[in-house]
Amino acid sequence: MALDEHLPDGPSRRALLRTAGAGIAAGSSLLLAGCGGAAKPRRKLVAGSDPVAVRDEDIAVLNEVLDLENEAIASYEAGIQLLSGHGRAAAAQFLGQELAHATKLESTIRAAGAKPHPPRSSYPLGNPSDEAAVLRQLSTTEASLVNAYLLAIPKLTPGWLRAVAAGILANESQHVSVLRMLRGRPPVPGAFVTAAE
Amino acid sequence: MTDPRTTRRELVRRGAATTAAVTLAAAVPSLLEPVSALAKPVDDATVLASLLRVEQVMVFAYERALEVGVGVGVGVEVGVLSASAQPVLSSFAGQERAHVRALSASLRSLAGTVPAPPTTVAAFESELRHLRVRRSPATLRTERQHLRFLIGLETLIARHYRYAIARLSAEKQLLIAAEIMANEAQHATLLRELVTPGNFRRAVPSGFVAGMT
Repeated sequence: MALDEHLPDGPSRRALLRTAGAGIAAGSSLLLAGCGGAAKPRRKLVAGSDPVAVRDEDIAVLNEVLDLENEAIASYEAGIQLLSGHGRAAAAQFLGQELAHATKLESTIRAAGAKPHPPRSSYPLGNPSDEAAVLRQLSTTEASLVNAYLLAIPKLTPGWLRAVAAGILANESQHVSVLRMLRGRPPVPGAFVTAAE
Repeated sequence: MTDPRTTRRELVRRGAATTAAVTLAAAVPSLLEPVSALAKPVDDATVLASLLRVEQVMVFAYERALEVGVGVGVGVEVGVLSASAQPVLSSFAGQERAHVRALSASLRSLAGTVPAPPTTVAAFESELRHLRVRRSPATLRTERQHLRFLIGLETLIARHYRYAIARLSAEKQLLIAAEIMANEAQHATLLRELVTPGNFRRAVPSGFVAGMT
């Protein structure tokens, strides 16, 4: 059994599989079946004989991290214009990855029959005026994301959903490391990525 | 009328997905064939024991790379690690040991038995074969080969943690596993940065750390 078979396909995953020529998507047996009634589980994502219920509480958690992902996207979109060289290259790469996270979260929420929070029309990003200020702000944003995912993972009910969140948490932690490096700080200061990042 | 913000978001999304796919295929080492030791429903102690076994392999791998790389060992590979790589590997070895200590404590708290770590090269290679690592560390000669081997192991362990997080049930164990998985992903990024400095597409190739090979 491969865990990946349990993961709902978002655009980025489909693109990955298509480009790799893996053709795994064709063999995936992810089925969507409504469970009906007013019970808490809103929808069952069923892979093979392993039913996994996504609950209202899971949707709330996913929407909380989606809100932060959308804020991070706004931060990168605003900040990238003030960056140059390695900072700009990293920010461009990370912006694409934050967009992929938001897309994955949105598609997962929709697949469970719920509505993803839309991005806000504006965010209070302050007025960073130079590269150092932008990198500092992006570091703060990434730290918030790390904290949110660390809080989210134990709350999520389905194991496959925790695995998706862990994969994103790990990526946000990589962003933290690179941003620390760009700011002249030790990139991996501790053996455990904690909320204090 | 098209919303320019939406158009930009969609364009970046498509670009990001394509870039990630191409970069991932090019950057991920092919020396490893990951195996799921956790495919069936298991209790938390079993999951932690499995993770601990892989972490013990990581400790040995880093220590061996340092031993060979800074000239403590005997052979043609002596002294292959550069001044920039050696302190990074030394730091990561210490962090892997911290993971072992944390997982051991968690496992003991669940009345589990801590597995014996590999203490010889033969035992290390046996563990690698168990993990379906195809390349023997004995064939590593250059710093680049050592770094790519370690990147492969970090990729492998990320996959194990992802499986584990899907299967663990207790909040405390889930949090420890998540904190360590994130740290291992940082290791992979810094090791890739040592191989190709300044190339962030390679250092952070995908928005989803899945331990894919």
